[in-house]
Amino acid sequence: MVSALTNLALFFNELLLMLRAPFNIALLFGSVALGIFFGAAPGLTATLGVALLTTLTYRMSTEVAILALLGMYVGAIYGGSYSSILINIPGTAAAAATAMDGYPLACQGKAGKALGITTTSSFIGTLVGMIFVAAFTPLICRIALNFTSFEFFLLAFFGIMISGTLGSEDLAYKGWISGFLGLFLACMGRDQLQFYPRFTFGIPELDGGIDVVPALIGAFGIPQIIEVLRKEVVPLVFQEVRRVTPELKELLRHLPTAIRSALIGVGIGAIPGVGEDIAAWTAYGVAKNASKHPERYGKGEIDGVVASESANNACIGGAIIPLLSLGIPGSPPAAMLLGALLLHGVQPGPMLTIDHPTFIPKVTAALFLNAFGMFVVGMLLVKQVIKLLKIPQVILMAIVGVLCVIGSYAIGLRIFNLYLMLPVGLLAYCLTKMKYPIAPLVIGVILGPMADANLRRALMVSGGSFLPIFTRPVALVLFLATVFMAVSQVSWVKSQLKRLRKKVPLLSEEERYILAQPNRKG
Amino acid sequence: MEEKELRRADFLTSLILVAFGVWVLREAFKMPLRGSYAGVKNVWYVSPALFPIIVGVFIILLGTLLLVHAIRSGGATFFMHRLRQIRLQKVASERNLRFLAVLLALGTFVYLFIPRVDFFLASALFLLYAISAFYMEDVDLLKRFAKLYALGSLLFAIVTGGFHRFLAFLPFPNDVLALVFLGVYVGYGLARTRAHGALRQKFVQSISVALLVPLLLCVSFRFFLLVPLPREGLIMEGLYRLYYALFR
Repeated sequence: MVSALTNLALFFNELLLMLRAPFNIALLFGSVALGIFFGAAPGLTATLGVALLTTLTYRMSTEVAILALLGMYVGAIYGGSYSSILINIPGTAAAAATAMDGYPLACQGKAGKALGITTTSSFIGTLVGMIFVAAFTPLICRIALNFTSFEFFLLAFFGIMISGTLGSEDLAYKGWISGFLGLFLACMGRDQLQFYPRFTFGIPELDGGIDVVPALIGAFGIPQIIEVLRKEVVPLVFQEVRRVTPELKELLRHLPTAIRSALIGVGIGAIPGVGEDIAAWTAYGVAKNASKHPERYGKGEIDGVVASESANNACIGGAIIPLLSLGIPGSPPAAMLLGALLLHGVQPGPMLTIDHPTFIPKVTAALFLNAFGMFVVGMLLVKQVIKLLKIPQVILMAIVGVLCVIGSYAIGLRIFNLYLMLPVGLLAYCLTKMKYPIAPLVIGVILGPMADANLRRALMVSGGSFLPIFTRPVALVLFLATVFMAVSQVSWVKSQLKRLRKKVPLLSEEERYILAQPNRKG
Repeated sequence: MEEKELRRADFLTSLILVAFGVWVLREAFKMPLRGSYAGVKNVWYVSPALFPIIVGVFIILLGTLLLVHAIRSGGATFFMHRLRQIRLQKVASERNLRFLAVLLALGTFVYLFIPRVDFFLASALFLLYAISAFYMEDVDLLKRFAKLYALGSLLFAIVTGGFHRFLAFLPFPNDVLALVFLGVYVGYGLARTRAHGALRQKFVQSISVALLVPLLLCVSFRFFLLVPLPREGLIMEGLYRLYYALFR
């Protein structure tokens, strides 16, 4: 109780500290507006936005940088709904489910109403996510303090495997391959324990390994640029927006859907590497199944818009929980956020509450302010954002190309980072084309050093024995979960699991026949 | 990608992955597994080779799984069939041409211009080519611009690589060359779009974006964020002089 009150006091203290400087307020609205634009413009993504903004926050203090980066993240996830509703092209994958009912609403002349609903739902979703960050992150940190190197190695391995399994559109092991390629990239450079050069090819610049931020900018920026420039230019047709209103009354009617979807969003966000798009689709599916009128979905049902928008914004909070408590990002933009935190000298993980005791309240306060910032900007600047969306995509992407270059360079002031960024980007583009997910690759690059060092440290302590995996409960659970995940992809096991999932009929054919007789007795 | 195309790609990728995994293992086994390195006595479980060996084994294993799946779903057959059917016409399709044009823009920007030319000029060249070539929605113009850009880049590489002594009398020889290249590109573009009002307008837009965006970036990064640019030359020198004349 005392601890909760202390945290609450810290939260309000951080909130006031952030609001005290006018620069912070300007930065808050500026980054949220930029985020909305990044989310709304097809081709630009939340991850790319966070990646590019990281460069600009390099010289800011950590709390100001967090305010700006979370502003970009929250704004971009919300901003995706603009293009979903107005042009039926989701600005981000997270807003794809919103297009299902948002665009039909816009076609009925209710674009303003739909945007009002998405703004309010996203606001609620972000707040629910924030509450979970505040409540669960310190708790998980405390539990994770008991973890040993074996648990950390298995946790990193589990993170890569689960993000590969859930993020893969095609075969699950394509996701794992992507993760192992990321782990290979992380092996490059001198190893952490003995400083032995691995896969450096005699290039001194590779001794320090691959810098995370340029690799991430390459992995998320270059494929987008190639993808857009390779396509024919398609003129975008916008639906008209008259006035955007908060639609509070309407939302009160859909509050149960909003809360349920936000909870789904938080849960899915906490799974490593699984992003806002899966959260939005899952919440949309659940809302449709729970609805009394599922036939209205896809034709302009407000419940559908509420479900997907509250889920994708709540997912932000969910993705931040494992990021802060375990150092494992819950979504691709959170992976970028991790890169930014490392750049600012903050090492997320169980020691966070000890090394930086006020950091979690800082993040919570930043999320809270960004939720409000998003609400205000969303209500006031819709028409201006739509005007910006009319800038041709080719021009935007060419500018993004220059930003990727200067962004990758500015982090370490090394031209060599650019030489790495482009091949990583091309690799990511080829993998995307062949339906390999990129999130596991990125998570592999980030978690590789942690997995490598912890495995060797753990074996050093145990004298080369793997027995502690089976004697430590958390390690055993993580090991079994990873093995189960791998085995469940074997076709024979898959078919057995499918058979188990099928409901066992409660009544036999004969019993059903008897019950169906109209003149039966008893 | 269609299912058939995907399996064909899977077949080829799986072979590459298995070969890559074997290479990772070969390199890992060259690392010290026993003995001592830098005064540290090694045992297998603290060896720097341990993690790369695990990664290599998994890549081979997963590559093999993918190979088996690709063969079972007809990927190998599709691949062989495709190999026999390859025609130059199909290779030179519009999508592939666009892909090569994008690669040309990014490759020359990162590997040729950024390390050698003032950042403003390198970015202006990249932006002018990338926007004008793709924004026009005209395949013929795209081909012409790509050819000109490739030729100009090649000439630039040759002159700066082998004949830089001839330009030693100039203050910023690489930048002067890049400026000439930019001028030639602008002149060529204006001449090519002279007869079409809409195309001319788009080309002029490309020029303005190509000049304005690098200027904004150079000023904000160098003078506000105090981040040095990858290469500062002719234009940055001019900007410095202007800055000191105005504010110092």
